[in-house]
Amino acid sequence: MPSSSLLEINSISKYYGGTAALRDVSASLQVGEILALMGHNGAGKSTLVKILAGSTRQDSGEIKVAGKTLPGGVREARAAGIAVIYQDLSLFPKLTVAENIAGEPTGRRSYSLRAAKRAAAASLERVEVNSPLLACLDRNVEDLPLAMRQRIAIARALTYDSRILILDEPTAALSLADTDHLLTYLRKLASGGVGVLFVSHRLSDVERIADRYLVLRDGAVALAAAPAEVSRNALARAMFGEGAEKDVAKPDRAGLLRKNALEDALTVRHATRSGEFKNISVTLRAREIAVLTGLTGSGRTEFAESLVGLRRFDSGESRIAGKPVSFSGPRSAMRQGVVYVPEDRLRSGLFRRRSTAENLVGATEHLRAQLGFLGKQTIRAAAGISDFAIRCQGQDSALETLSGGNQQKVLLARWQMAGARVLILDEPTAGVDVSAKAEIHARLREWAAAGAALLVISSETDEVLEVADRILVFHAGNLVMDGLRAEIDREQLMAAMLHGGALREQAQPRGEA
Amino acid sequence: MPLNSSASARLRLNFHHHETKLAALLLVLGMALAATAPRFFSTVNLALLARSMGVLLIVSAGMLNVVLAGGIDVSAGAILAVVSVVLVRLGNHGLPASIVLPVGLLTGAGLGAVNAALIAELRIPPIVATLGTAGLFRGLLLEWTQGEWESSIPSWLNAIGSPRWGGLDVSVLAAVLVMLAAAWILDRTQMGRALFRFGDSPLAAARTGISVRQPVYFAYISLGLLTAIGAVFYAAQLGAVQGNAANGYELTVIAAVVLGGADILGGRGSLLGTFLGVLLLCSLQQALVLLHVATFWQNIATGAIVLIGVILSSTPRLGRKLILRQSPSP
Repeated sequence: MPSSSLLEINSISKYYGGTAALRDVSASLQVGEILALMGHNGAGKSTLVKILAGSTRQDSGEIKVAGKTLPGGVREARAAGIAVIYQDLSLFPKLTVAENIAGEPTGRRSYSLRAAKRAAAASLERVEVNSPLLACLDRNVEDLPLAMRQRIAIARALTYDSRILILDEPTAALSLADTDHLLTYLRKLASGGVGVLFVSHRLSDVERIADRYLVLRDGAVALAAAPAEVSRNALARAMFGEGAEKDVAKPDRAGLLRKNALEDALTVRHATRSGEFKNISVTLRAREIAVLTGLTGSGRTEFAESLVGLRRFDSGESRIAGKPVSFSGPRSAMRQGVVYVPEDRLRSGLFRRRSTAENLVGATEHLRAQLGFLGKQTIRAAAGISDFAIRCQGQDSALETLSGGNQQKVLLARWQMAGARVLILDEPTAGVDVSAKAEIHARLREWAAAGAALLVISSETDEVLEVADRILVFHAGNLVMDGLRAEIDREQLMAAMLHGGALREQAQPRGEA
Repeated sequence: MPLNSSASARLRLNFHHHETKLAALLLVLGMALAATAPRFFSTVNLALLARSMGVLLIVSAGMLNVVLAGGIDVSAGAILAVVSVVLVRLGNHGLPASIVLPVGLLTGAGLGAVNAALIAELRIPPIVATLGTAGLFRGLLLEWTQGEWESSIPSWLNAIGSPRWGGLDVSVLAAVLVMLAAAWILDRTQMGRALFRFGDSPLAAARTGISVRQPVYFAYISLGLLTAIGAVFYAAQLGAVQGNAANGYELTVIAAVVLGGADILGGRGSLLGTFLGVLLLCSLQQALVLLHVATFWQNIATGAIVLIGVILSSTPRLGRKLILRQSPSP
């Protein structure tokens, strides 16, 4: 009965280079249904969305909309009634609200601002009664707050007879009230006959709205079931994977930690930043690896950035060796030995067109240079000090020719050379291969053993359990867990990450992945 | 943040419009001129002003397309020179206007297409691509002319450039027609709106199904074509051309467009603003000549007015950024 499905995804596979982004994924969406697409970062959600939107072509498999095979191409997908609301919204900030909503290219060559405005107003009225946007059709999108922009994106998606609405992490940047509004609204749309694909990893939103779950893990379907059939436990396991065998902490390190009384390196007390995190008190100790985890949007990166002065606490303070400190930015934090290594290493960590050697001394050159002069010899000599195993054609090759893992090692080596005592690393192993990952983990441990205090931010459960001496979990801006690794198991960790508390087993029978 | 739609909000918005500020700047200039050089407002002088604006308006309308699409073209002066010389040389060889004019316009459009291809197909940044072609076009032209002047122009071209209608010439009429046509294209066609969209956010444009090539080709070819139209009047008014003609003209054009409030990063700008920008630049030049100010002071004044205009246009955005920084988002 192919005619009953609004959208049919038949064994879609997609490869980037040698790695599979999607492997034989099949799913369907019915009229009036809200299907939640879930999965961890890199599980393949966005690749699937891109294929449905027509901006990427699958390598094999086919997509059918109401029984008809969908050809590739953005316009073709749009014509078939598929509308995507991207996480970045993809609006035109310098154009007016009306033009954003109703200015999509149509088959006609002519265009009328007045007609666009009429169409936008009509679309808004269909979307909600008395939309506040009706009053600002002539204003530029860049002048409006985020929640308004999201409504613009939704109104745009629904202007031209969309039957399938795909929302990519729509609630990630919304306040609770706005999220509420959006979810109610999506339900109303669905009952009007629209099929909704709701991409999210916020369990609380998904539980409220989804008619069915589709969980991807490593590019394959890990779970497809109705909410009544699965427990939160099973859902979490489908997202994060099994792997309880790693639940025992490395005994040698645990023993080491107990033997040496740990010295406080950086203490944060009652740190609050409006809208990002609330009342956080944390102590980073020398010789210890603390891993901070939590879902995207939990405030963990914002907190880490505040530690080095990239953002300011609204209230609260940090102390080093008992003395209050306040950093105006990474440069002043570095002087006190506190270093932040951002997640996006190519954009905000490394100079990708410069040589490996230059990147290695990137943070220390002003210390080593004589009277401001910095010769090639000095750079090479300084770089030679590093003992990191960096595979490259030589220190003079441009950094961008290195693999992701080696780039990350260059970045870590740089800060090791700079003599950092407190290291804050945001997702240090994101996008690196397994062997480089193991090497980076080993290096982090050596570093801690040498006396540094490490705060590693990671969203990978396996990594958290693997490298942490202490685990910190953020949920919705609160520190919901702070304990020794040895005392925390996987289930507790996942419960804290997903909903900030103890895992409650539901009454329904378990549906396994 | 409450959204007010009251009349006061609309009024405030209008006050923030760049065009309003430019008009105010013009008014100030006008009042200063009325006091110091009342001759400026004589019919003869105003006709002269209009004639001096024609070519700049035509080429600026094309440059606006390019800037809206997030690009820039520093080869416009070279294209203007190439087409001028082509027109005059072919005309002096005795070819009729009915052949020479189409050839000239096609030359301009073709050179624009070369720029577009480099940018759209080879993904060369516009400033680099057009810097390269500017040198290339100009160099080939100098090689062709060997630096010789074409000191006479065909009679039909001379007729185009001679004043009629109370001191106005055909260039003024052409500029009016070009502005009307350009306004229609920008506001009334999908291609015009695609320029704004593509310039504002290429990614969002691609995601709504806008071609990532078409707007680029349209922008640079239309600039090439309009530059060629401008070249007709340029050569006609000057009465003589050579390979080094219009050297640096592209900078005046870009200055006029930017002064007119176009965002150099693309996606924002208007023809009305461009018109006011051209009017302001040309009035200033004319006034300084009338006041017998030395040439280098004219350059200084032109530079200053461009900066003032651009600072004026960025102030509301600067203000908003400051507000956003002070209040953390909820």
